[in-house]
Amino acid sequence: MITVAGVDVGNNTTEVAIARIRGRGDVEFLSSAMVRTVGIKGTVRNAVGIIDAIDRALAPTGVARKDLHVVLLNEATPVIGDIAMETITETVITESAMIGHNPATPGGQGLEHGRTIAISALDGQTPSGGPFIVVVPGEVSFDDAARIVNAAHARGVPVVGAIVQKDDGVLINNRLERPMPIVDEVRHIDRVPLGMPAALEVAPPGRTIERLSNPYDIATLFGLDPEETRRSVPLARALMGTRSAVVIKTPAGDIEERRIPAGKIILLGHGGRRVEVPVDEGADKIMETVQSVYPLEEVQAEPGTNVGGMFEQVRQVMADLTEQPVTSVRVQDILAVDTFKPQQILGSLAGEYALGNAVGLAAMVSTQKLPMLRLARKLEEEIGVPVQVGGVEADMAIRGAMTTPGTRAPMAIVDVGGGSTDASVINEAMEIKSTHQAGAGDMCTLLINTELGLDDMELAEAVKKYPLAKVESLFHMRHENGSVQFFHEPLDPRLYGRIVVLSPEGWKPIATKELMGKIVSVRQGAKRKVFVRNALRALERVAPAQNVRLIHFVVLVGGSGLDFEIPKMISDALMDYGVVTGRANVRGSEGPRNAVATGLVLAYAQHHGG
Amino acid sequence: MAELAQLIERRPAVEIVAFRAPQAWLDPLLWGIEEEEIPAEVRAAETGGAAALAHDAAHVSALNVGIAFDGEAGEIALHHRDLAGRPPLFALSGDEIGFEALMRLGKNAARLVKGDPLIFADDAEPEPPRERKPRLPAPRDAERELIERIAGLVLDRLANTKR
Repeated sequence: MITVAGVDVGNNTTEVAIARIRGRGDVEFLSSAMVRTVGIKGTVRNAVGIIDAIDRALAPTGVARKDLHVVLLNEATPVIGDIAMETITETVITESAMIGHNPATPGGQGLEHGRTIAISALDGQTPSGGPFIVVVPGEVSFDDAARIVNAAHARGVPVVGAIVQKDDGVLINNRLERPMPIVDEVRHIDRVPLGMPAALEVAPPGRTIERLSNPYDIATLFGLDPEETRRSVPLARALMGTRSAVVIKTPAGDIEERRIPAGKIILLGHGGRRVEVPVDEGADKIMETVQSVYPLEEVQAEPGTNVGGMFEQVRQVMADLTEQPVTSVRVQDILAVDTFKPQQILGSLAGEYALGNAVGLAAMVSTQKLPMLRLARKLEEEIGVPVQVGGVEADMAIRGAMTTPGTRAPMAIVDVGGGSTDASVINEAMEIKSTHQAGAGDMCTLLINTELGLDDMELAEAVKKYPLAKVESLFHMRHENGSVQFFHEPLDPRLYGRIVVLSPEGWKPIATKELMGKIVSVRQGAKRKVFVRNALRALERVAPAQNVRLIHFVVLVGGSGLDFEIPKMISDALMDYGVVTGRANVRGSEGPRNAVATGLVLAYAQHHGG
Repeated sequence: MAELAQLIERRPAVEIVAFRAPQAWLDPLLWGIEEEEIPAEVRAAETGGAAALAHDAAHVSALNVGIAFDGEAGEIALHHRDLAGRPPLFALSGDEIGFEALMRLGKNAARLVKGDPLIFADDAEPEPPRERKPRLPAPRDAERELIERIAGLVLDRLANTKR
């Protein structure tokens, strides 16, 4: 009888299974453990984490580390993925021509138009000069501003609206004898052109502007010809959904939506097939083309373009990681996803955003074997127990997953990792077929980060992994499913009124004006675009005759199996195929974890015995 | 009983209690509340003690928020009825009392009522980009690529012969 340890070093976690082997195929599992992986997967630094994990697993068994017969190490999946985002449209204002934003409390309401004028110049105006829209910089206090406008009104000078730098709109309006719409919190008030025709609209509470977001209303107000009206479309679009807006017509002023030439992706298939697809045709077109060229030999990008630069970067990262020269790094699969990116409008006056279109690309590179052998030698030196590198990771994972009660061949596993989505299938003859697809957890995080404009990958990762809640009072929060949680100690006032991610390391507020439902839909959309689509893509590639219906059981393994909504999403998508889908329960006790470590032990027992 | 009737008649407002407070303190606070469109009312107090006064004001306020000024001690406190028996949510004293801080306190009192996120002195305002950051230069051309490929092959060969 011998005691062995199966060790699976993953990108994020290192997992161990300890088992006693009495004879060929006669295995009794004693314990398991999981720790965070130390260092990048496949490097000698991993040894620290492995030893820690082995010791933790051994502790309850009473077996000493030196009494282990052998330590079995996984042969890491030889693929690495990377991600990038390419914007294909952007909105640019030349000579600030508009303001459109959501100040918390604008003043007054309605639609007015007139010529812009500095408040300091209002004193000398006569009734015939107007109507005016007055521009109030931060140095002018709200009561001075109100006094000057009231005085102008008294002289019969028509002042019909105001653009204000500070958050003073309500204060000014409350002091006016004749109320008028006021747009406030315009940070870059010095950029507002003076003496120009302008239109100003403030919507009532709970509504958004209706006139300045309509090209024909803009045409009516400014007397535009059809060509000018056509050019005002991006402006009208940028103003949609805002509470207040100003449009200023300047001789050279313009707002345009630019298309950025993103370049082409070149797909090389078997037998010298070569197909080009322009990135700005969108993700669906790219993926359709990938499907038509499959199996792919290599994916290239047009040099000297944006996508070319992006591919170069991906290859450089891969080269550094695997210590190979850049030139031997070949991109073997891509996943393209359409997304949008809230971008601050260039030349904006109040930090306005417009949605630019973007394409997210995940690329995958096959590497030569990761240096697991070197790690094995190092580990052997450290612990004085023989270490074997055994078995292809995907094969081991499926063996481990087969210990899930209620499964039998033909069965498939899906493992969504950080960089790649892997699937394997085992048929009745116990033959295993595997595939690796570009695009997984990191891609999903990137989409969330981009679409919510977080600019914080760590926060985006938390949004991906954990549910949200809104702090509604100093003592309670409402979870995204509507349930309310009460606390006996007051919550941090910095969380008050905010949407927070319930990360186990602490609640993190999300600095956004978006509603909770919007964040949830972005999160679920990103998961669907990446996880569900890739799980299907992967299963189609390994399924007999590319027919997912011929697989009877699909089991989710790895960390993604623990996600709070991915298993349901994949299960929903596979319902139509009549496939039993669920998260693994390795050995009936480990859940989706420990599949590879368990598989390593089972494979060893089959060949060696006690 | 008279007291109860008084409570019932009280209109919804942030209750402000002032003990020997200069008008220069009261004004910015009231403006902050006004800008956020929440009603407030001011009463004079006979004695000082900002924290205790604010606590009681919050209890009386139909909107559950009370603010108290103690001009003599140079202290200001904001309390919420939910925090009964605890220290005030915000307190300002001495040099901390200034126009901006008072206006912010007023806005926060109103935001507490509305359930809106509070604002803090260290909240960073993002600066909008005026010019586009220059893109990275075009990454490669055919010739450079060829040289790279050759160099890569040579390096591979060298690495293999060493072992």
